Amino acid sequence: MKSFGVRINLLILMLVLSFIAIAPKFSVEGVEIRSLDVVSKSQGLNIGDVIKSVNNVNVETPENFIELLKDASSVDPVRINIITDKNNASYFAQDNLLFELENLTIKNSRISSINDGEILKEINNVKINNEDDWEKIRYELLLSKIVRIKTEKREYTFQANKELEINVKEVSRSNIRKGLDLEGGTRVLLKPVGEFKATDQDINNLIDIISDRLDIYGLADKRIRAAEVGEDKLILIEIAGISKEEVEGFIATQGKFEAKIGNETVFTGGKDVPFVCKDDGTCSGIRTCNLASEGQYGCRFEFSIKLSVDAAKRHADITKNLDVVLTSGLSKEGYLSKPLDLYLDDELIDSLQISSSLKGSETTDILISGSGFGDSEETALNDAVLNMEKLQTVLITGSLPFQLEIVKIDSISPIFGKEFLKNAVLAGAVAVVVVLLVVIIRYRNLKIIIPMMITLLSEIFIILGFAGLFRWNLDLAAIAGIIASVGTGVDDQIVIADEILRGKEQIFSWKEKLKRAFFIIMVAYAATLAAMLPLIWAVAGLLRGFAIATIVGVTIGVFITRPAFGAMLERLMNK
Amino acid sequence: MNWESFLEKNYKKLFVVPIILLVFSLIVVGSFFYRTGELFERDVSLKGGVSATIYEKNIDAEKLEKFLEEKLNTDIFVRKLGDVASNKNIGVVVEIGDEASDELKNNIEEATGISLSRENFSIEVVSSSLGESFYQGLLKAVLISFALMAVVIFVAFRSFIPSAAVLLSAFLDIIFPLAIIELLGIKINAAGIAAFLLVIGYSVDTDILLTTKVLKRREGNLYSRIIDSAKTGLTMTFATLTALSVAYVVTTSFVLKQMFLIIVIALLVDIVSTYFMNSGILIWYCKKRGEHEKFWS
Repeated sequence: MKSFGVRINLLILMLVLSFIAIAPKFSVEGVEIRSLDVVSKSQGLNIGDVIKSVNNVNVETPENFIELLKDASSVDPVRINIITDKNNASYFAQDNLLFELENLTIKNSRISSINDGEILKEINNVKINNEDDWEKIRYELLLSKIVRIKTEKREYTFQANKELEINVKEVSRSNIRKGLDLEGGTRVLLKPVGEFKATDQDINNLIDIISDRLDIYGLADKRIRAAEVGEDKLILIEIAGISKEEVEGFIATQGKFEAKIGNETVFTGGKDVPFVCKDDGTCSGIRTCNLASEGQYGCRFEFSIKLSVDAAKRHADITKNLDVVLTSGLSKEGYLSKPLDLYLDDELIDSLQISSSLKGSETTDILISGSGFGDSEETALNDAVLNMEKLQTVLITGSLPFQLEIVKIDSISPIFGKEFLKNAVLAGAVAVVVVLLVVIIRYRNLKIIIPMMITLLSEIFIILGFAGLFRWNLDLAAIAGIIASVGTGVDDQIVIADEILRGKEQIFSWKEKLKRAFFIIMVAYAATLAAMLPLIWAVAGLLRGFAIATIVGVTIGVFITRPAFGAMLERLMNK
Repeated sequence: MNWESFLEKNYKKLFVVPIILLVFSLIVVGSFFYRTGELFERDVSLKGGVSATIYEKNIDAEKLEKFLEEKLNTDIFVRKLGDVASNKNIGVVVEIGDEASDELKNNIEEATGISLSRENFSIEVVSSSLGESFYQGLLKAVLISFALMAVVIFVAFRSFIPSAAVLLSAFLDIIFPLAIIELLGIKINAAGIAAFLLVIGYSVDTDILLTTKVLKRREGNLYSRIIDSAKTGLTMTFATLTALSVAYVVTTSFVLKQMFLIIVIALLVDIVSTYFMNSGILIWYCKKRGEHEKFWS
């Protein structure tokens, strides 16, 4: 086979490498998991898994998945009629009977007319005389569905008695990642405020803690980095598929947790608490829900934690000196004179009585509790779950060493993003067609026009190859950068073409002609590079995508595609 | 008529056009600076404040502006967001100078009766201190860019007047679009400043081509070499100009639209600054050096 010469071969090589780097998938099936609820997580599903089918129906789009999942897992509430030795009640239950049973005695009742301590006699017309009767019926009371979720790796089959909440997105069709403004999500710039100026080390600590918090929250689709603006050290966070309110309420709160007895601190979040029970119903969960006052419901949550030895010692030292308040004259049981007060960001969230048996003891097991409120039981329950998760997260990660101020927040709707991407691609395509028309009018020679178009499209393709290789996030600014560098590309090709076409009578060799063209091209390249470089560091790197796209674009152009263009012309025109 | 003899006779007259444009731009930008103490009007991203975009077709922009101004008691700026390709309204953008984002959202909901969610609402909140340091940072970036570009030009041509002519041309390419943007009452955003950096790159392309041909080539005479470089240079400029003009019309993104608009204006004025001004300076420079006789063929 005839060789094309070094310059053209290099171009072909780069095109092949770019194709590999972009790794386009021509047919994609299923949807990618973006976040999971507790139930599906405990079944082993992971963020990033690709779901192929639900109950043997193939998943095509995220919208289609939402419907399938709803059909597969939503269960209607069931009416429960219950009779105890003292009362009877009729209510609706969905995923939970709203009470627990121990020795046929009601525990943790959330039914308004049934109290703890009553003995269960009959439920849904079935008499309960002994434990066996209860065991026979308890799993048949509530409806549940078998859900089969098939991922790329394996099939998961499990029972669901409430609607699963699995958040998904389209599977990426290639290695090219879309930036926030094309995908939708929130970008925040946070500034630490404290008595001291944050050092680089502080910023790194902050980034670690925030990153942990996001992980615990199931938000894996995120990017965090340090950013500098002027004198200030800032943190830039980009999270796909999250709203402004969620970021404000959760990431940016300092989360300073303190457990105090009187004025003395017993323990704080983070290193004092080596273990926090989370997502495990046996040691963490919502325990009771009641009508707190007129139209106001309250739900209490509890979860257990383990204290470090140091914190347990502090607990012992402080409680040693407290008095015991007996609950009744007869028993020796009672409470200590001061409660354990739990503060989150200097706000009292709960106050716990300490059992007299713990006086002066180095206990490591502590039960943390708190509540949530709302105008219906459901909203109160959600509020309590949210507060519990927040508290657990804060206890696990510890507080942020600084308060954070949101200095910039953008929230982009995912619908916008889709429109923008379509539109930007259209604008780019139209620009290429217009360039084609201009060169057709100017040169009227296919031997120039075709190589020019090949070069132009190759440049775009190789820039995208780089984007795929380095997992850039292509945002609007980067697309502008690509269009800009393609613009200079066309300029340079016109210089080369004119230099070669000009004055056929002249005796310059091909080498000489190209050398002359490339002097102009190299100076122009250096000037563009000089203009773009400062932008890499300016404004917290928010325009870095644009600067890098332009620089990479013109560099590829100058060193790979335009020399190849010269070589193509040389071969075609010399015949 | 012969372009070369036209140029030879008229290059001094042609010089008037860039001078008028330069004086005009300096007056516009200078008077703007005198009135406001600012080089240009900055948008939310460079000044601080809130910019909210509502993605709904049937919003009356003027009514919304009036409602919000009465309610929040500050200057509110509402503009329509249109899709030129389909000639349809896509939504509106609301801009406000201070950072009352929660209030703004509730008030928009009240005014329009549309509930705003992640699906139809985008918001950008920038603190004024950050906006200010972005602004300072970007201005610094423009100055450094210009300085680095100047170094490149001086190293490449190694003679003062031709190099200075390239820089003067680049300066006109920056200040003229800035003046036009100010007259159009457009607020410049961060991406807009990035566009000015691109202008530096684009602007010098044609000047480098011209200067190289005039100073480093020996074929033809001075005027024919200028005309020759103009043929190439104008093709370059027209290709980019038409491509970006069409892209400007097509795009719905405000970020891209502003970038394209600035570059299009700059490319238009670049024709004047390169071929009326820079070439004039080069002709004058060559004549003064008395070298031009040497080039007559």
